Amino acid sequence: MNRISSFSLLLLYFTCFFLFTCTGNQEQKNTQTQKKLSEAAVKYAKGFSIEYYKNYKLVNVFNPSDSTKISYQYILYFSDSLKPKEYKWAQYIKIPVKSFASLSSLYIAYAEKLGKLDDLVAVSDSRYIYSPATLNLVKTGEVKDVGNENSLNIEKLIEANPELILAYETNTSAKLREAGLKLAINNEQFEVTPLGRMEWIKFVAAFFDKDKLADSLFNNAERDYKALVKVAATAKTRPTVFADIKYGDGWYMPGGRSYQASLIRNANGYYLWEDNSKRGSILLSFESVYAKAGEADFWINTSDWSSIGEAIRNDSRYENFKALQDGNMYNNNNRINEYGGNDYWEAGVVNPQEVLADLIKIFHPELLPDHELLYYKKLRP
Amino acid sequence: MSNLNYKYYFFLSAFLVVLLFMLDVLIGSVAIPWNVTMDVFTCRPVENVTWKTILIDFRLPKAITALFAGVALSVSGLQMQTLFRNPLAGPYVLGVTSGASLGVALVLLVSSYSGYALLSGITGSIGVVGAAFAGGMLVLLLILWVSTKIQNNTTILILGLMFGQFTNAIVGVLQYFSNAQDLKGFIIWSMGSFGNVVWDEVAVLVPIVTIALIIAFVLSKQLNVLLLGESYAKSMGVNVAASRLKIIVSTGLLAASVTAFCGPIAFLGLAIPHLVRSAFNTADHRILTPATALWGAMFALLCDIVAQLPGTDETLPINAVTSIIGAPVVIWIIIKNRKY
Repeated sequence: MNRISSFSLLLLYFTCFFLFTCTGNQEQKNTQTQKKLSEAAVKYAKGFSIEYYKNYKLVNVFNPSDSTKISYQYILYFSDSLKPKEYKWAQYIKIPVKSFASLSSLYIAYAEKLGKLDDLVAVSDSRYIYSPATLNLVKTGEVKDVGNENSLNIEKLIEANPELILAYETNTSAKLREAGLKLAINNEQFEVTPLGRMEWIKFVAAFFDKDKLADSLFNNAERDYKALVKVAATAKTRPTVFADIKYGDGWYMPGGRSYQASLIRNANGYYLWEDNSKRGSILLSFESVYAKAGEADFWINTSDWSSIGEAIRNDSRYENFKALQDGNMYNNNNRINEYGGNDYWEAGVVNPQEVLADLIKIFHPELLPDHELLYYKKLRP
Repeated sequence: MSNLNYKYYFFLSAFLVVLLFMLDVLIGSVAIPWNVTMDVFTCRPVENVTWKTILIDFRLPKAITALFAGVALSVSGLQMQTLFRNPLAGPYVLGVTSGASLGVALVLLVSSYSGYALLSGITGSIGVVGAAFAGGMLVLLLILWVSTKIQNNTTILILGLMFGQFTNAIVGVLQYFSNAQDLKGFIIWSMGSFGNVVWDEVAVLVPIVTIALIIAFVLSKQLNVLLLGESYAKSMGVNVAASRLKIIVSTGLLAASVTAFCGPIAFLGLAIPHLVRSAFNTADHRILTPATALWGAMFALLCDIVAQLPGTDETLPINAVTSIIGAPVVIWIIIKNRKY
């Protein structure tokens, strides 16, 4: 018995060895014939790259904590006969994809901006989607709702049969891959600048082969954004700003290198924690936030509050903040649906220039007299 | 231990409670000079209004809450351990906390299901406190009703645990279907906090705890008799059913009110009575009850000071601290004198 199994192991070993050496040779041949033609310009985003080859595109998604490491690799090829073979652990996807599912409302926003909503077949947790066009498709049954992140209905998703799933990595990702579904992992959440987040539209567009359109959409947004930064820079004052609310004993304040800090800085506000070096949030005690921000001019991103009364009901000590007393509280929930699905995290990410304009209007109303707040609103007294 | 020794112990404990209380007010993330603190508390004018607000509105209610929560949970734990003659009993064996959790889960998690409009009406601390108290009281009433039907203490203990399991399962299902934002709110509530209690709430918490404590102190003698077994207690002329009812009401009030305002605070109720029994080396509840109250206060204040991580801007959730300090202490006691 033992002898037989060791013999078969040996056999297996040799077979593998033989196979590998064969494919290895082939690979070398292939790499010699394939030359990189060009690379997509990715100016702000740190998380991905797109390389163009003759018959395919190579898309890399980098590890968010170490950008020299590749987390995911995608080979986007146009025809089966010209499919490259040398990328061992890459995900092969034939493009342009004709149907897709989205497991986050944000990815719908990218696709909608690219005019690809018609190809959407399934979404997760449609209650939290703001996009009216998408909700309409869900209502008519053209787009299936496949449940939420915790309880994804994989059978329903397989039935919808999308050629591609736009997703972020979750516990169910492995199961989806096992089922033969193709996942494009978006890591836009790790980008720390608004333009960096928007730039992931290029990543999404690569799968639809809409690269040129994505470039021009991005360039327009970038142009407008930079123009607004210049406008904001002409302001004579720099009001002090703090963000978020207390949960329990802790206040999760955006770090000084975060997305939010970057927006406030670009709108020429003085973010009180801008010297902090964290990209994520910092957990602060209530009293230390009060000591630093008690006299601050503006308080933004106040969870799900719509009125100052909600703040006071939550904790009466918020009344000690000058921003509350002056009524200078603004929240990014101007466009939400009945379940709290917020367009700020959908279209707002794809239109960073609009978000910036809102903040400039809040901090320096005289600079943009004609702008009406789109994603932000002032809290009711 | 002689009476003189007890007096000495009580004096020392009370002194430590006062000292820790002052330290808890004095120490925090924001460094406030102690002479300013003195000025504030002696009602002298202070230039820095921010410091005054921090001391009066942030630290003082937090320290008072820690004090009363520590007393309430420890005494409640002592009562439960004696009533059920079970060293693993605590304020939570009756399922009161689980009931409170369910109430809070219904407010924080279900509101996202029922639509956004409904949320704005019951959001905020008042909604959470009310829901927690209602949930806790509901379970308490259920237990009381059961205890009038069933005479066996062990059966009540098991029923309490079952109620707890049942409500926890419902909370689990609610969590499973909630969105990240609501879940965050609930999980942070379940980590416990002394710092969220404002003066208006202190004004509710303190009287409830005081009344329940008075009941507990009055019951000390009956607890002593119960310790010797129910049949013995009956033969001594104690109305076991009536005493049990009073103990359950007192414990339920203590646990439900603290949980409503602070969230489920772990470990204090279980650990402190053991600590006190081994330190005072007595089973007399006329000694144990006040001693447990003092040590509970001491321990809660100490944990609160540690949780502030003095000198940093950050804080730890109070439950992490109570359990990290509490667990080794209990292990040490169990190994030291293997009584149980």
